Amino acid sequence: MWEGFLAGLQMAMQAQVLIAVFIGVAIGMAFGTTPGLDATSGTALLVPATYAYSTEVALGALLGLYTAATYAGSITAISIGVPGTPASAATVLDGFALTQKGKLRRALSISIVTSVIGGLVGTAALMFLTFPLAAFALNFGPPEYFALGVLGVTIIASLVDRIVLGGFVLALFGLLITTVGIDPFTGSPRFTFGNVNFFEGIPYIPALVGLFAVSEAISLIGARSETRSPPSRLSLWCFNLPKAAFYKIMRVTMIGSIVGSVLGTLPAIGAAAANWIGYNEARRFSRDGDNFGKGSEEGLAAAESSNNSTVSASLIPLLAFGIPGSATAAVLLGAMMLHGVTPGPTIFSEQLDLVYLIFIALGLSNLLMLAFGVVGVGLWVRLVQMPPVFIAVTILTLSVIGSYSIRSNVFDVYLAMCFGVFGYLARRCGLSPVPIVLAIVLGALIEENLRRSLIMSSNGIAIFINRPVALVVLSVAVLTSLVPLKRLVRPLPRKQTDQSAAKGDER
Amino acid sequence: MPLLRLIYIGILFLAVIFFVQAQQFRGAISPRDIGPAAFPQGIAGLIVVLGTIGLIAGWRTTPKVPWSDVALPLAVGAVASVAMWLATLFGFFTVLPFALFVGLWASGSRQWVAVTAFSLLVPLFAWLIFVRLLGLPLMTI
Repeated sequence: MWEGFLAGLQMAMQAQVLIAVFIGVAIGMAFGTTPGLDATSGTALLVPATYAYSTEVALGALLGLYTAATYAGSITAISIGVPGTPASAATVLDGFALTQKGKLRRALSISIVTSVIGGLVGTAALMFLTFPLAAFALNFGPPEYFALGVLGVTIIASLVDRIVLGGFVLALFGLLITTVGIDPFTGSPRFTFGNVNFFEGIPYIPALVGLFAVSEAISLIGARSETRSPPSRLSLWCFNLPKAAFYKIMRVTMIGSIVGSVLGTLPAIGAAAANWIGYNEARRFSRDGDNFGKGSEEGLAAAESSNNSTVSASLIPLLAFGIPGSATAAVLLGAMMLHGVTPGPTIFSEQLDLVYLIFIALGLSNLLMLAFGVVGVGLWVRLVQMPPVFIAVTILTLSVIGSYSIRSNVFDVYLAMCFGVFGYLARRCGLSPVPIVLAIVLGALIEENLRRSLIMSSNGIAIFINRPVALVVLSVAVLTSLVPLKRLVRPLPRKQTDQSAAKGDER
Repeated sequence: MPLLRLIYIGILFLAVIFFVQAQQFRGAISPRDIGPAAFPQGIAGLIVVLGTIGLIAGWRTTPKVPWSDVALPLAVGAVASVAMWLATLFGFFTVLPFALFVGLWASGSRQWVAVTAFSLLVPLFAWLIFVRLLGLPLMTI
């Protein structure tokens, strides 16, 4: 174990990796601060750019971005009352109220400190939980992996489902897309329609870039008429958190961090939900609960610590089982697969140094984020003033470059545009693109393990009943699938459906 | 327009095409293998069943989306695709400044100096970062 840790540390201390984490954090700050963009679209855009580099450099940059973007959404939430990312929605309540009371610097200081504490608690949870879970998963075979893949897709599909069965239809559509290309068992082409570009299947990078980045760019172009109140002028150094104020918020910060770490472990819960749940739980335990929502420093601390602790915690199912727990984790899985790394229990025996590198990179990202938050927050606030259309065309340019660069194929750019248009339209009518992405990333794993299970079985599908873990996981998947069916009996009120449609996806 | 219905119908249509096409696939590698057709056919079948239920259940509550909201992504996608096609003829970094300029102008930006500067600076930074620093093969488009 120590050898693995030292190897990971050595890897993380390479100049290239440190620079990558630094750049990742800087880009993450920019993405998180820009309303409409978030960690998922940022990582989707950064994956192709990291292709030319080693796995450790790529992971350093991507983890830095993920960590910083989740925090940086709070900068706009506090300074102008608009959450930069969905994960900062609850932050607006007390953060913006503090700004209106003239305590902008205090609010930004609380936000960065509690985000870092939350991030470090989440990283500790990741370190302590992944090893036993991965050891348990070592006994898994194709039936268990098939079951886990199905569970990953069904949980996301049912929890993000705002339109009746919409999440499931999109998830199934994503699975159908993954069957395009050469069949891995027989070698025969499937659904290629004579087009050689389809022989390798639908590449997931253009799909991720299209569904997350291109669709966000289109949303920004559509929002060009929206005006944003100019943020207060801030000097680069704006830290203001005396010791007494720090000690006062510590209790709720720890509550928020623990709640976020637990929720982050569960697939599909995500930072946005943790932001609200952590906030509510802290309010119940706080002596200052009545002031939550009116500019409470404790309220802000709870919201910020909870959403940032989910970042590392969401990697627990990814590292232990190879199943992503969130949309950003799905993009990270895609990035790892692109670099030839397969997350799951075997990574702990074959590439333990990489596991430790992930832990160290996450810790480092949090510390760098603290430096960025303390020193340069005034700079990031000014990003809000940039016209959305300029941001949109920059994202479109990066999307074109990103989707082209993996296979040097112009066809992939057209694919990204198609996915982008589809993603925008789907979100416009209340359908989240997250299930389709997860299905695209997990589709091959599900089909291959289903077929392997049946080949090794002498009693057909009975293999899924005879293996207890597979049976339990599949039962949970079936039960999860029943959740949206309740809506068939009791559909959403029309007003709520319309609101969902108008609001689009918030992941 | 009832956009959600159109999306559902489009997915159902594709699922039916996939289901029919899968019938022509080669057989399995062994008696225990389900073959290349079974999985996509099963998925396509589930889409048809669940999609039809969803379509019917949400028929009355389907929100109407204005045409302009549908036209916007199609226009952006079309402009970007045409720009990409032109890039294959004249080179990526030759077309990019013009594409950015046209895109910003079409999006309603009328600050000529800012638009022109932005249209020149973005390709310059893209070239520096992606071609010079990362070595991506963008010059070969």
